[in-house]
Amino acid sequence: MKSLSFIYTLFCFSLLQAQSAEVILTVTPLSAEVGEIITITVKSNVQGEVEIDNLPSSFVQGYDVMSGMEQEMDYNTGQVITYYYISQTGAIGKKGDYSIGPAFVKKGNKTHKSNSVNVTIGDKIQASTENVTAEQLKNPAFGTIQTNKKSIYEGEAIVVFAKIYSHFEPTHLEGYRTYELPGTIDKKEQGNRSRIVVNREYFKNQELYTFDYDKNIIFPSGTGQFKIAPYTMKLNQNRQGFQFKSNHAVINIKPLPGNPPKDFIGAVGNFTIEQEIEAIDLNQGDVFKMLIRIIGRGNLQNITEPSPTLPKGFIIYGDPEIKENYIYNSHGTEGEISYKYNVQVNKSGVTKLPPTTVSFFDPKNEKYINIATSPAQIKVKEDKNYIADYENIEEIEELNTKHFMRKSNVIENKSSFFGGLVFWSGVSLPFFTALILLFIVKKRENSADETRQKQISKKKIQQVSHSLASIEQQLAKSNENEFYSQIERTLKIGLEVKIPQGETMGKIKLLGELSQVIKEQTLNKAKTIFDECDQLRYGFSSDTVSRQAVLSKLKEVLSELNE
Amino acid sequence: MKLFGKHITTFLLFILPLISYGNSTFQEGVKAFNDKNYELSADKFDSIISISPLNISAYFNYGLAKMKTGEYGEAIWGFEKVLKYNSSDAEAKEKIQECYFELNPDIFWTYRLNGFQSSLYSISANTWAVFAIICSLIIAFSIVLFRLKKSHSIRRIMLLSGSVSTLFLIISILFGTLSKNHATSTNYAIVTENTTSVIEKVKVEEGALIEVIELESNQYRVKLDDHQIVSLKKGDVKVI
Repeated sequence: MKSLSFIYTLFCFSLLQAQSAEVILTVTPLSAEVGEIITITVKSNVQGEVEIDNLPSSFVQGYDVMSGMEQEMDYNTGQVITYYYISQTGAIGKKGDYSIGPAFVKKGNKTHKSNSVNVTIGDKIQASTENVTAEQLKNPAFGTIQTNKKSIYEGEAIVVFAKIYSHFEPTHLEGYRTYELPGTIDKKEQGNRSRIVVNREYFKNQELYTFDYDKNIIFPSGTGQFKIAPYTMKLNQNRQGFQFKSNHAVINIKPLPGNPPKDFIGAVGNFTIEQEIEAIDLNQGDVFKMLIRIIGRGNLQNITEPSPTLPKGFIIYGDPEIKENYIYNSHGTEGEISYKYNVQVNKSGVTKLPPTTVSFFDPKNEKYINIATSPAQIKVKEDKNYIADYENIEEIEELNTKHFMRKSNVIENKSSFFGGLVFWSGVSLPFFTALILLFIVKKRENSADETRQKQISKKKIQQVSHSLASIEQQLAKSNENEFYSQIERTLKIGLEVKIPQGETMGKIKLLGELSQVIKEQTLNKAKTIFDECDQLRYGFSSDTVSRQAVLSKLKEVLSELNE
Repeated sequence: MKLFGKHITTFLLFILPLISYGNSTFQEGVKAFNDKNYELSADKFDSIISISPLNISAYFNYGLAKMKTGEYGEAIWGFEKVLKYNSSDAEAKEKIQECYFELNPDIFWTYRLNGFQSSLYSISANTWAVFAIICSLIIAFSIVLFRLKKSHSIRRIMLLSGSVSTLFLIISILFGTLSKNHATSTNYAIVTENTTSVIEKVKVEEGALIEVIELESNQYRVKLDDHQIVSLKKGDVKVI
């Protein structure tokens, strides 16, 4: 790591009193944006050459170097201690986390070392500019209220500061009355208000003097549109000055989405959770410390305490010890809050501690995020004399069932039956029984059908013979239509003996069905009879010979069908 | 009758002495444990296991004795054996967790079977066999009634009961097969002491659960947690 150092010779006096060497390195602010002025101070009760290690390569030294001495009373010993200090301003030009120090104070052959300081440098805030009117531009000086965001979620932080433009180079200001955001409860001032750093900047094609002033991190409360009321000031150049009132600014505060998770701790930002357990090997009844740390950036200062998830038999005693270690920056607050819980163990054995979960709202992704600690396990040795001081002692006793030797227990082979011959027979036998039963039923139904068919056929044969006898008697008596209709009916009944369902069929369909059952020759003869009957029925009175011929053909067909 | 008499004689001559020997050895094992002679206790239960491999309590007690002697790999094997025959044994699970904690507090042991598998295997294959036969009877009954009854509502009920029973029959056969495979399989083993694989020189820690691929003369080809296949000495491994 590249390091830059600056060496100064402090005062040439030696120490008057013998005391232990103390070197303290401080940096303010600990979180700044790129190019923002920071002050590095080395304070020591030892006088000598000062050297600071690990200054970032992008650190640019300012011109402000202050040194001096101060005296403090040590109330323990009653001694007055002289501290020598030197402070240096500067700015870091690159975003990142830096570790500055340690600082060394060298006196003679001895070198005394200080602490190191971690500094976070963030992006330069891209502030929005309110509309500036042409009339304002004509004024010697004017001001705007700038914010890093126009719209935020409830709980999120917003950076607000005054930006002043002037046509003259300002030397100082007076009568400043700050801007106001209604309902602001949580506000943290950033930067050094006692000093202004003036730059030259082009604004609407004019080169103006400009500087930022009164920077605050604000956590607005409530939701909706809020107007930041303007500030007023008098900007001076030596003895001459110009009084003006700035523009106002408007910000929109959106409510958090509805139905937050049950473990939502009110955090808005980006966070992680960690868990540490002080001891993992304990005795029954011992109390161990469990540390839960919420680390991240957002509204850390406003979060509520997480609820640790503990198994049965673990009891939290009292309120947790809370330690806050965070800084205010453009993200709101950044750092960590730790909760130290005292947990008593009543259950013996090895127990897994389930992860503790919390939820926060991530404004970037606009959703609730659930985070959890890693699971842990602890071992608790049984203490036979321990009596749980717990409301539900029975429950604890149940949890602590003693693991004694077991009585002999020979189990039967619980897999011998499955997959064996008896098993498969047992599964398939009902099927076969059912199939056999169905087969028997079917067979019985078929035989009943056959008997019924036989009876019908017999009846039809009888009908045919009666019909034939009747036709023969009426051979010469009846009219054409009646005679041939009777011939047709008789033939149809005769054919129906072969096709049981023939009763419901027409003549043509019946003949069609018969083609597969009787000889073709017989079928043709039957067709001929039907045709002749059709022709002769409505013809002029046929003679007895013709009638006899049709009758003979009918008899022939019927006898062939009987065969 | 003669044959029956012969069986009785065999029973009296061989099985009864074995049972009485087993019982006395079991009591000796318990006594040795109570006298804090844990090695003797483990030996007694080991001998019971060799003559009566289905004595589930002997495995548990063997595990307890081995825990006391600090042989956690052996103890884990005993408790794993208990879980093989009764996968819902909470005490055995707790003890395994304790053994792994003693071997390495950073190891989080979780039973290789999930909740569903655990409850599935706690029902024996024979129980599934009985379910399967009952389903088969219901199916047969439904088929017959469906064929014989003319009423549409009855036929519909029979169709439904037949379909459901068929589904249950398939499930019973499937789960029964899984349960039987679990009970009879020798796929897993426990490494009983810290060892190094024979050929690959990979260090394998005591208590590691490994998958046995094959047994070669006096060493096992096994698959480790990281899917690495190595050979381990037969004496360093105990099959579950």
